[in-house]
Amino acid sequence: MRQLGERRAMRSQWRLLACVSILRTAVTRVLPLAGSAGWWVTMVCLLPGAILYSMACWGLKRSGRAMLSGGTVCFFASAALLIDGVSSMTALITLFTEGVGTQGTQLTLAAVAAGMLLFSLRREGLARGVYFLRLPLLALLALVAGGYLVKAELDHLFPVLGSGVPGVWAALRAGVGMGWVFLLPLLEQPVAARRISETWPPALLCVGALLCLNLVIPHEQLTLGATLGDTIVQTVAHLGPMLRLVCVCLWMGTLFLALGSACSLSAAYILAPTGRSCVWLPGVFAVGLAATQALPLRSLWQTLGAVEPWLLAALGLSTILSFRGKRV
Amino acid sequence: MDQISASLERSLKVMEKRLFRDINSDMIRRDLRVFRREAAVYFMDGLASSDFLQHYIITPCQDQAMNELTTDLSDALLRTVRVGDAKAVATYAEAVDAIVNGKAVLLADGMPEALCFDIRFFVRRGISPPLTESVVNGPHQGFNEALRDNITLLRRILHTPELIGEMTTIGEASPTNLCVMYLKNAVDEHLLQRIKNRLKGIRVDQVLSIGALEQLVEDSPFALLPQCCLTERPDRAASFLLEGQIVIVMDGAPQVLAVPVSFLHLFHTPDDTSMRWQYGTFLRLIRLVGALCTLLLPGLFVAAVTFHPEALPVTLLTAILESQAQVPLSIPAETFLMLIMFNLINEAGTRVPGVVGNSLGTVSGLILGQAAVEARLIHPLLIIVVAVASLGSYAIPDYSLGMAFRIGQLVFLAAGCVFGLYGMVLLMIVMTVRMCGMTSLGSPFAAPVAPLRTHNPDGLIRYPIWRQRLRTWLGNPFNMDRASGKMRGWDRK
Repeated sequence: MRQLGERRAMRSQWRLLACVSILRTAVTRVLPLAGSAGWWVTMVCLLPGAILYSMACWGLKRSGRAMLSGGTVCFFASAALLIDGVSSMTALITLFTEGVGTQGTQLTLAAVAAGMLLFSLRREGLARGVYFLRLPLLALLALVAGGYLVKAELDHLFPVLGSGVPGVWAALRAGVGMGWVFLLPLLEQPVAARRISETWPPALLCVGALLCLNLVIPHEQLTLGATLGDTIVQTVAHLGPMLRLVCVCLWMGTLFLALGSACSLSAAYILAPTGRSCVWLPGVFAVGLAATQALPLRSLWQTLGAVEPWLLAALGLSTILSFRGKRV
Repeated sequence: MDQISASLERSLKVMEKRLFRDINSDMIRRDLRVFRREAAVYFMDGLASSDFLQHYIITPCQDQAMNELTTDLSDALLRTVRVGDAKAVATYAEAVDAIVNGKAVLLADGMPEALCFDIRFFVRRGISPPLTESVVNGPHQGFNEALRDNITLLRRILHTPELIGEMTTIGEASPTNLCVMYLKNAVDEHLLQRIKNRLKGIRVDQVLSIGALEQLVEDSPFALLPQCCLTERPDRAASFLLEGQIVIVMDGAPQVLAVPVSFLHLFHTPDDTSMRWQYGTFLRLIRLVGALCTLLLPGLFVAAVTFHPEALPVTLLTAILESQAQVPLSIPAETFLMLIMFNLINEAGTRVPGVVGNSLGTVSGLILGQAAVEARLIHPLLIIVVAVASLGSYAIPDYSLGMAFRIGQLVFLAAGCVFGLYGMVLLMIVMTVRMCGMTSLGSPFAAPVAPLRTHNPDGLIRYPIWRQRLRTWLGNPFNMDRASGKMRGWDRK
C-alpha cells in the first residue's frame, strides 16, 4: 500500500503535467488556428502520441523490459520537459503581466515564480501535493465547465472545419507534437500492466474542456493574442466575473504545478542513467526557466512555436532507438 | 575513582564534597548504627518523605544496631529496611543521582556499595480538569506535573501488560526523567527505534519543558506547522497509543508528546470519538471552515476589494467604497492594523490573571472596535472580517496549529495585498506542496491523503466506531486490525 500510494502520487503528477501541456498548447496554438474545429483537431493531434505510447508498451512487453531506459531517451525526455517548462513559465508570467495586469516587469515576476518554485521543489512533496490537490482542482474545473456550459450553443461547433482546410492543416502542424507527454510514464517506475487507457484521462479531460470552449466561444472570436497569457485570457472572457477569476486562478495554479513537475521530473530523468539523485538540480532548472523570461517575448514565443511540434519526433525516435539491440 | 569505597569514612568524604553539603542546607545526612557498624543515610529534604525515612529505614536499622551480622551486609540491610523499591548501586555518581531524584541512600562501613530506597514524596498538583482541551463528552481529568502520576493515569485507562514504559533521561548537566510509552503489539518498531535514537542523540545541558523536547526531536524545525501533538488529556494520549503512536511523558510537564502525527490528527478532539459519528463529522467540518476562515478571510477581503471589485456584488462594493472614502487608511493598512490589534489583545488576555483576562478581552474588543469605527479609523465591515477570522482560530483544537494559522494569515494577507487572489492561490499551492513534503518522525505529514495509505476511516470525516476496524498507518503494519470479526456481533451484514 505504501508503494501504491507513492505511485499514485507520481501518476497524478504526470496526469497534471499532461493536462496542462496539452490544454496550453491546444488553447494557445490549435484553437486560434482551427477555430470551431479546435476540439476534434486536438483529438487528432493526440493520436500520434497515443499510438507511439501503445507501440512502446508493446515493445517493452515483447522485449521483457519493465520500463524505458537509456541515455538518449532520458536526455530527450528531460529536454522536452524543459522546453515545455519554458512555455508554461511564459504562459504563467504573461498571464500575470498582460492577462491579470499585475504590476512588475516580466523578469521580476519570473524571479518571484522561481523563488516560489525553489521553496516548493521537493520531488516527493510536489507529487504528493499534486495528489492532495487533485480533487479541489477537479472541483474547480467542474465549476468552470458548468459556467461555460450554461452559455453553450451547438451552433458554435459549426462550421465543422473551422477556418477551413488551410486553418485545420496549420493547426494540425502546430499541435501534432503535443502527444509527446504520453511517453513519460514509460520512464517512470515499472507498472505491472500498462494499457492504452493510461492516456485516456488527460486526453478526455482536455478534449472535453476544449469542447466546452468551442461550444461557448463563437468561431470568429477565437483569435491569436499578443502573448500566451493574452490568448488564454481571451478564452476566459466569456465567463461571469467570479468564474473568470476562478478560471484564471485555476490556470495559474496548474501552470505553476506543471512547472514544478517539469523541473523535478526533468532532473530525475537526466540523472536516471547515472543512478544518482541531486537535490539542487531541479532548483537550477527552475532558475534557468525563469532566466529565459529575460529574452524578448516575441522571439521566445516564435522559437517555442518552432520547437514544440518536434518534441514528439525527437522523443519518439529516441524511444525507437532505445529498443535497438536490447532484448532481455 | 568513582567506585564506592568499603570505608565509610572515605565514602562520606567523597559524598560530602559531591553534594556540597557544607553550603547545601537541604541536603541531609543522618548517622546511625546497624549490625554493630557505623552507617549514614543521605536524603534531600522536601523530596524524600521524613516519615517514611523514620519508620521504614531508620527505626528498623536501629532495631538491628547491636545484632551480630551473620550474612552479607548488603543482603542483611535489604532484608532489614522495609521499603519495596530498593536497589544497590556501585558508584558515587549513581548514588548522587538517586539522592537528587528524591531517594534515600544508605552507606555502611565495610559495604563497597550504596543502597538506594525510593521514599520520594513531594508536593504535587492534584488531578484537575485539562485547561486547554475542554470537552463536552468524555472524562474531565488532565495530566499534572508528576511523571509517575501521568504514567498511572495512562495505565488506569489501558489495562494491558503490552503497554510498555521505558524510562530514560535527557539533558547532560541536569538530567530530566522521561518515559517513552507505547503498545508493544501496535507500535511500528522502526518508528520506535527512530525516536529512541533521537532522544539518545540530544546533547543539551537541560530540557526544561516538553515544548523544548518537541523542538529537539521534530523533523522540520523551520516549518510553520507543528509536527508533534501535545495533549494534556490521558484519554487522548491513550487513543494515540492504541493507534500505534508513541507517547513521551516527561517529568515536570503537564502535557505529553505524541509522535508521529499527521495534519489531520491536529484537527481531532476527544469529543469527536465520544459523540455519535454524525455530530463528530459535523464538528470537524466546522473546525476546518474555521481554520480556512482564519487563514484566508482577511487576505480574500483585501484582494477582492483592491484587485477584483468586479467579483463583489454591486451593493456591497458601493457600501464598502462609500465608507472607505471617510477612512484615512487604505484597506490593506487597516486590515494589518486590526489583525495586529487582535493579536495584541489576545496576548495581553493570556498573560494577565484569569478573571481580569476575560474582562480585558471583552472590554478591549468592544471598546476599541467601537471607538475605532466612530473615529473613522477603520471600516465597519473589516471588524466583522477580523472577528470571524479570529473566531476561526479559536476553533482550531491544537494551540500550536492555531498559532501557525495566525502567522500564516499575515502571510496570505501580504500575498493578497501584493498580487491579489492570484498571489493567494499560488501561495496556497506552495504551502500545500510544502506541507505534503513534510514528515513527522519520518512519516508523511499529509498521509493518509497524500500519499495514500491504508487507514482507519477517521480522517476529516469520522465514520461510525464499528466501521473503524484499522489502526492508523503509523502503527505496526503487520498488526493493523483493531478487532477480529464483526465489531457489532449481532449484525447480520
